[in-house]
Order: sequence, then C-alpha cells, then structure tokens
Amino acid sequence: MRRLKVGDAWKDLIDEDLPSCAVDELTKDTVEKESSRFRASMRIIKGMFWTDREYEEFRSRVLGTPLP
Amino acid sequence: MHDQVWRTIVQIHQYTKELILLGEEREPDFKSFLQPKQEHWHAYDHVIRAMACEVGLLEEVSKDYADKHYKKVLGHEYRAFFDAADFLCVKIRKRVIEALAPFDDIFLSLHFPEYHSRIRRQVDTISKEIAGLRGVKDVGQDDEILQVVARYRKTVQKLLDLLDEVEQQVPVLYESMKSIRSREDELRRREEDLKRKEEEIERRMKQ
Repeated sequence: MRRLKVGDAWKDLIDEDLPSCAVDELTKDTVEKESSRFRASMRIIKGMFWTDREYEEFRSRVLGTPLP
Repeated sequence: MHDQVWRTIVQIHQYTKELILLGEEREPDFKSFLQPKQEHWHAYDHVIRAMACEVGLLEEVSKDYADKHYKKVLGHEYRAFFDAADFLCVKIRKRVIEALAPFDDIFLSLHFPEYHSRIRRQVDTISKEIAGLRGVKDVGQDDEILQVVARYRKTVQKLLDLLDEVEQQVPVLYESMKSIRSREDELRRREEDLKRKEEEIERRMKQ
C-alpha cells in the first residue's frame, strides 16, 4: 500500500479514492466520546444516528413483516 | 461546460434532500440516517476531480477525464437518492403496519375495503420495488437517470399519499370498533336479561 507523506503533490493524490467510512458501533462510541472537540449537529453529537447494522436489521424486519 | 450534467446533478441532489428531510421528520426517535450523506461525500470528491480538470489545474489527463468523473458523481447521487427513498419507504411501511395492527382482516375488509382492494397491494409493491433498486449498482444511461429518479420520486409521493389515506381512516376504524363493541355488550346484556326471565318463568311454572 502506498504510504502518503505531508507535502506530496496533491495532483498525485487526485485519483485516490476517499476511504469508505462504515457507520458502526465504534463510530458511534467515538463520536459521543470526542463530541466536545468537533462541531456537528446535535443528533450526531448525541450518537443519535443509525449504524449500518442497526438499519439493515430494522429494514429486514420491516420488509419481512407482512402487511395486515 | 457540462451544463446538462450539472442540471441533472442539481435536480437529483434536491430530490434526495427532500426525501432525507421527509424521512427524518417521520423518525420518532429523531435519529439521523447518514448513509445518503456518505454517497454525497464521495460525489463531492468526484466533483473536485472533474473541476480540477475543467479549470485547468490538471494538464496530463485524458480528454474524457471530467466526463468520467461526472458520470461517477451521477452514480453516487443516484445511490444517495435510492438510499434516502428506501429509508422513507421502510418508515412508511412500518407506520402502516403499526397503524392497522389492532384490526383483524375481516374487520378491515368490512370497514376499510379500499385497504385490501388497493392500498395494501400498492404499499407492498412500492416498498419492495424501491428496496430492490437500492441494491442495484449499475445506474444505467446518463440521460435515463433523471427520468428514473423523477419517476421514483413520484412513486414515493404516492406511498406518502397512501399512508395519509390509512392514517385518516384509523380514527374512523377505532370509532367503528368501539360502536361494534358497545353493540356486542348491549346484545350480551339483553341475552342475559332474556335468560334470567326464562329461568324466572320456569321457576314459577314449577311452583
């Protein structure tokens, strides 16, 4: 894997993809713990967001429940 | 300078924003749904690459460099739209299930016939169709993307209208259930009265 250094020409990095960012329990814990250091919406600071796993479970449950 | 593609990007982005706001409004726990915003994050990175080329900051790139990245922007915007649409549809389906849970099939058929004849089928089809599209990575031809998104935006609106129909009917259903129960109570009381009177007559006749 390529090791980046501060000072690399940005043109060399332009075609590097941004890392994909999983929204998981660790993200939630980190956000809540470090919230005083960053600016964000109140919902996010309080950890009030769906993690990928929570949403997938909720979604499968709702889509799998037959309508009355 | 790519006016047409920008028109498409702006429209899809605004449609997605509309659905994100509607989805969060219908979220009882006020939790945010970050997945479409991640797609926007990636879209923004491709916009920067395309613009770097367009404003002349990148010299040694292929002729179609900007086009290639605008196509990627459209792909991420398209997926953000379907993530947001899926979230809203799942919320609507959950609300329909919860709203009608207290009533059984026979009661619904008698007091809300449109539900079984039309609404149920449409809610089921739309929510599952949009759920299926969320998993599709291929966004199709550039000129079709906006048409597909606009069509599904209307479909989501249709689903919201169906939910409104259900929610408007729920108080009426509760009223009907209440009046049926009070009629049943009244009948039971009359039966008991009648039985008591019969027993009284029998007792007198024996005497």
